[in-house]
Amino acid sequence: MEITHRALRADHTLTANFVVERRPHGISAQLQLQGNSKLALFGPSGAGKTTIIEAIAGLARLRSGWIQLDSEILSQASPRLKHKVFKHKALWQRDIGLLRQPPGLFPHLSAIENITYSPRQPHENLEAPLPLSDLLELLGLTELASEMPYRLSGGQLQRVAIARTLYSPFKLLLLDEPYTGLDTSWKHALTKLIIDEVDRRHVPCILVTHDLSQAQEVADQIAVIKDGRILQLASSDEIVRRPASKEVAELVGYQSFVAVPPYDNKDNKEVILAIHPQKVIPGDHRDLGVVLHGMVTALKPSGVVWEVEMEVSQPNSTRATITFAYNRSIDRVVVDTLMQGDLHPGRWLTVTAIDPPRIPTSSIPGPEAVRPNSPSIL
Amino acid sequence: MLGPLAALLGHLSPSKIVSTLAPPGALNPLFISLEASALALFVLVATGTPLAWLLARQRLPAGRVWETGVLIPLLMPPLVIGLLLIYMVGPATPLGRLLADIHLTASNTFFALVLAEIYESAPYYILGAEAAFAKVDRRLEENAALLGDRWPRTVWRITLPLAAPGLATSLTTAWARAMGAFGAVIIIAYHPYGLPMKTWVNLEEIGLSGSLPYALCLIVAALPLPILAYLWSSRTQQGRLVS
Repeated sequence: MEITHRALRADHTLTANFVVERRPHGISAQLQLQGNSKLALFGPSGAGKTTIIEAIAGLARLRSGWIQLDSEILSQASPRLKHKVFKHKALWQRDIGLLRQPPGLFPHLSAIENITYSPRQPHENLEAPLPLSDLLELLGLTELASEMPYRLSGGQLQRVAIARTLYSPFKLLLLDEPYTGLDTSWKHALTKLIIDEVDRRHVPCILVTHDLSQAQEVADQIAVIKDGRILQLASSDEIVRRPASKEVAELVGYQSFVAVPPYDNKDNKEVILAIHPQKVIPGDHRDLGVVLHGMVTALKPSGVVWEVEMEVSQPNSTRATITFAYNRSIDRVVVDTLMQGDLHPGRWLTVTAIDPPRIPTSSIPGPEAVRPNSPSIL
Repeated sequence: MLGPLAALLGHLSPSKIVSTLAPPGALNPLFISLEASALALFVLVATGTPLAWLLARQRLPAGRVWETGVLIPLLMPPLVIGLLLIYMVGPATPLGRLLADIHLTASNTFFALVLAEIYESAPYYILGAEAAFAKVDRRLEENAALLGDRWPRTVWRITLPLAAPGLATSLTTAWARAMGAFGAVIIIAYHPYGLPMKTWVNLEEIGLSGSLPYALCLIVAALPLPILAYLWSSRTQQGRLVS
């Protein structure tokens, strides 16, 4: 019954292709989301992630391009007159749920007055929010409902803000760093709530985060952004296992880059491998990945883990430094017991990098060049 | 600051107050002041509030020019304002003649009193209201709109409540200034006597003993509101220090 109902109702769709004003260069984005797709905008702070969702929400000017939700154009820049806005749908008409950072709760209204602020009514094409008592309970706010914002802690304020965003009907959900100020247990609860709500309402969702694990938990697709450009847009698996460039690899945690000479690999040409600190194990395990030989140059204990710096030889007699985390508690250690007590600077070591991605050595691709057969790119 | 006030109270005896203010018609200046100031403030709020909002949101072209225009009566000696008003709306001027067509004279009439009070108190209200509106975080208004508010509802539920303390302080300060307006009043509205004029006239004709009761009257009528507004405003602001 539920499935048939779903199929009859048209999916909400967001399509956008725009450049938004922000110094020093504009920020460009091409996106297409349908139904309950969840996209994470991932990148370092200052990359432009917030600017992109604010542009979609109508809070930033478009330098060029357009943004469309369902059959309505939300924003369009004039093709002829630079910086002149051709169409800009009023904020209150956009039917978008937005959680900003900082959230901007109304300081003169209580928590419950904030949460129930939205006057928007659900209708045939606009799904209703969860019942208020359920939402309050899911976010642990039942007791705090009548408190004023100035009396709430950071985490509580964040939860009230989330409730305010979720207690309104919307066709598109935009979340800017929603996990800010939440402790671990609330982070899990929030992830579940976001996914459930987005699936229940069948709306597209864009999540901005600088934390890769959050992006991976919630989103189907991740857009890696740096300096105002989308570097790669792919599934989270793809981003981590096949980063499109060295920049992307660095952003997802690869710290060392090693060139493997032609005669050492199947591709028969020089290849750059990205080495992740947590995906290196001592010993020769060719079945798991690429084997590297080198000398330990530095050791640093860090809890149950050693941070090891190792120099490996490179083509043209250069040296590359790789960093890896040597976890003394994993069971591979049993096989490599020789290593344990003997790990010190100056020691020669053989390690295996597990499934290191191969990075294209060509220049960083622009948004147009990102994989054309992915369904989420225009 | 409280010194002169204490001195005033020290010089007055209750019997003197009663004998000056009790006779029939003695309190007329009070009623005239109250009516004129109420009317002046009504005009200020009706026209000045939208202007202040436009200035705060920088929606007026040449906003700075408007601001300077509003600032000038604040900086000019009130006597000079009065003289300038004669040249602007006095009976011999084009504007004055226009006013005469609708049976209004801006010279020694109740209308003139209201006009003088408006000029003397306008900057206090308009500039104060502008600051109050400017202090309302634009992001909060944006958030309200994104939640589905049309603009009037945002103004009613967000902008005005948050600007209210500042508006109250500006309004009551303007009230006190309107009640106490003298410099422009003595030039274009010598009659009818409001409280400040009566205080002055009695000082000239009778001396301190005749004028102090009216001075006290003026203080009692003008002062409490701004002080209450200020106290209310600081108490409310304390509960709002949250982003």
